[in-house]
Amino acid sequence: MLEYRTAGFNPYAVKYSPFFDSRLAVSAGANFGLVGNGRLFVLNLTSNGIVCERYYETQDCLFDTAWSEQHENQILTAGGDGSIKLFDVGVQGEFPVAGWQEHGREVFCVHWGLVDKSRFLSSSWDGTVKIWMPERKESVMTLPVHSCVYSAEFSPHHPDILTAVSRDSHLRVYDLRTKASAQNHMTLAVPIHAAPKVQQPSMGGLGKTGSLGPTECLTHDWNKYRDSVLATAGVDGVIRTFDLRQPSGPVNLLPGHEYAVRKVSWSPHLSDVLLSASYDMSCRVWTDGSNVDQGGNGVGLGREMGRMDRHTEFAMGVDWCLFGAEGWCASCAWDERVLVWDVREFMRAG
Amino acid sequence: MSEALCGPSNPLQQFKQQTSLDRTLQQDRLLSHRSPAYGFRSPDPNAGVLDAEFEAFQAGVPLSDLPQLQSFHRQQPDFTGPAQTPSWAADFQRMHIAPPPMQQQHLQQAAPSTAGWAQGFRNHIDQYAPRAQQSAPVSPLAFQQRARFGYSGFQNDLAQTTPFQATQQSKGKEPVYEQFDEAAFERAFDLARDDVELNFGAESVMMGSSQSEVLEADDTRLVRDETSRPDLGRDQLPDGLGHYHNDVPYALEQQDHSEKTEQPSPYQDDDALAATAQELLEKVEHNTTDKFRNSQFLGLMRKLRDREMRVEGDKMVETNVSTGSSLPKPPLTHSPHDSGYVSGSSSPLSLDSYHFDTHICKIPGCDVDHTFDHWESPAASTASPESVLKGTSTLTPLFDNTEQRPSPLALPTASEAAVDTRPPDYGIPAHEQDADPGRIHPADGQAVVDLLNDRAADIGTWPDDTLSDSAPHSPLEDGRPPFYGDLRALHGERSVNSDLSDMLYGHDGSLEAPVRWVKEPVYGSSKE
Repeated sequence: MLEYRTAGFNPYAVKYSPFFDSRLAVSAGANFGLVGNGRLFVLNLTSNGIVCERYYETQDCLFDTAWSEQHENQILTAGGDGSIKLFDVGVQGEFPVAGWQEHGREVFCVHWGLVDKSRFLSSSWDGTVKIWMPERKESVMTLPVHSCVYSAEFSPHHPDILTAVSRDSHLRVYDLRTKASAQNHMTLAVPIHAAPKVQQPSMGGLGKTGSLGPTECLTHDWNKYRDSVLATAGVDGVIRTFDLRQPSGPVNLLPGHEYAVRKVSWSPHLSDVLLSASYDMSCRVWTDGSNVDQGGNGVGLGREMGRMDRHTEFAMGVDWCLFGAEGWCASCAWDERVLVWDVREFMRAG
Repeated sequence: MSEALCGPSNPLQQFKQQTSLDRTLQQDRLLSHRSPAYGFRSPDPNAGVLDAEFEAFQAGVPLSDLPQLQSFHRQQPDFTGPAQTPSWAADFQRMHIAPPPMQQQHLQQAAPSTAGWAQGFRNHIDQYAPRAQQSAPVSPLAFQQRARFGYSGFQNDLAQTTPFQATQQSKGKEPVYEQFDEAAFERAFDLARDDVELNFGAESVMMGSSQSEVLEADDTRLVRDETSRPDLGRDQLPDGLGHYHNDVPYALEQQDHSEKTEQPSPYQDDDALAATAQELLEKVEHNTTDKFRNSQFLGLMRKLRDREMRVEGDKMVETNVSTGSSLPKPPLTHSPHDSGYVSGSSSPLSLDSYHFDTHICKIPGCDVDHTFDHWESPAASTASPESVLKGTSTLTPLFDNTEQRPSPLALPTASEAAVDTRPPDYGIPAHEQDADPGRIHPADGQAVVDLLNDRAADIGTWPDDTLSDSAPHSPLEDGRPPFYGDLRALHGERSVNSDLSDMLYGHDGSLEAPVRWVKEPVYGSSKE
């Protein structure tokens, strides 16, 4: 396990570079993001551990960051002051190479298009998702969600499909090919708190419906292999998987986290494995039970495969390494630490 | 709409949006007397009136000297009552910026109010103390939302509706609007007018300076300006205005406060913040694990709850409870002069469009623009450019508790195994130890050092057999490792490197396979 200390700053998100196997970006804020500056760290994994290559200071906390898929040196940040900034590691100086200020509230998520790499999106507490092109000064499109959007993502399988989860406990799917009608490109709104189709025996305290009712949804992620599958998680601490072919409710529930889940991420290597970071200060590895080799046959009950308890404050971000071994990941937490670790180290038998 | 959904609406933020709106068109119209009907399908009959009236006002001509306008006045229903005084305030009232029906409508729009909302406001007036909220499940994130914006007073409690209630309201039947109490409105107006007359001298100076503000002010802004006079107590407000006042962007109050030397708001802010901290702590109080007990963040929350710490501007500061003054002193409107924060280099800020009142410090000899210091909300921080970054919170660790807790750098296992359990007579007593200082000669081993230095000088020319011995799994085709390769082999394996190379270059087996810790030299394991 490698470790880096973001002294004086509490990290909010960590992202592996899609171009370099040894490069990480961490966005952080002073004072747990309540007040004060933000800082973007660009970290390098070297033979001497993790070394900070560059860092950039910003006026307000940085809630999220995303590497450009077009340019190996460029990183986006989502600012607490509603600004989006683009930094270039290759350019000398301490200032961003581009910046956009349209959101009226904190920008909470930025994500670069994975198929059409000329676009990125941002989501904000002002209840909108905006789509941008790095060359343009204004946003290309604004999708009103009417609720705090904690997380939005382009589909990794299609250039024009994106999803957003928000405070009102809905997963919204937008298809940009549709007409800009009253629906504003929204094609689907899936209630996250709905009861799952199949009752599960291990629901614990969740009751018959498997839900305590609507709660804020903080994060979601597209499965990298199955193009209709997503996972969401939020304040009730339950990770849910959805299949958009069956939009009435979740397919699978993965209870276990004691407090809200802040970040989920599907493995880039395995179609059934996902990683989560939670306010209960742990990061956990899950399978949704769909692994055919293990008898899942595409469906099945998910389970927790292991947990990493080294963080001593709320765990805020996780990201998988795209390169090399399939178990490597990075996590960050408010204990001012970024950990790079191998999930196999924390795997339980069973 | 989303503002109401997303937790506490931040009045400053709203105000900022107002000021940052592109008003060039509006101002264009005011200045150039373009046809008001231009570009509109249904021309506004009032639009033309405004310009002349405004011109007159600006020129200081009494409105009665514009006879051609009188006819318009009679057409309009007079909602402000007869104007008794020739004061500028009365002039404002006589200006027909908008007829009353519009006014009423605007009020309703401005306040995203329902009957329940109004009820909530009354409740809040009754029990002013911070209270726990029974709204949506409290997440740390929700806390954060409130914390980031919660310290702008009690408005937040009201804005805090659960998203589901809100959705129902918007989807279901029409929201029930409060009946607009016109009588109460007029009463408040009279109060305000009296107040204005008293302070006429001083206020007119202020109005002169912020005239441009008045230009762009829409109808409600005028009302806001008057109703937010500090002398008009919040609790004296009749109900109809009370709601209204509650939605007045906080910044407008700030505008007033900036002229006074103290603000009442920080106390409310602290209350709100302490209440939310309390709420969060209650949420986790059943959790008695070490992690949660030692959590720095939760420690901060406790401090906020106990008022040992509070947010001041862009910083978190310890309130000095120990000085004996249990009641906190009136907070300074200015930051300390030596704070080094922004004040020193305020040129980019004073140029900033958001800081419309260029407040100059009243302390003699200090001509520094302290405008920024008044903007205690994060909204203000958005206004300033990147150049003010340095020297705010980053230079001084704000709550560096490293003394109170083990360094996070230490691994948990390492910090636990620090107890010396050896018996006191363990090992050789000091007096029995063989102390032979002459035995170590400074020149000892010098030959080896010389030899190593010698070798390092021409390390590239080592014989081939030496290299291949020391680097058994050479990754290069010709069996000759690169220059760094032999050094690494000589130094032996590094534990960090084995992890890293494993990560970078892969390992055997799937994720389900147990971890096999690599013992071979660096490049050995992955190339098979």
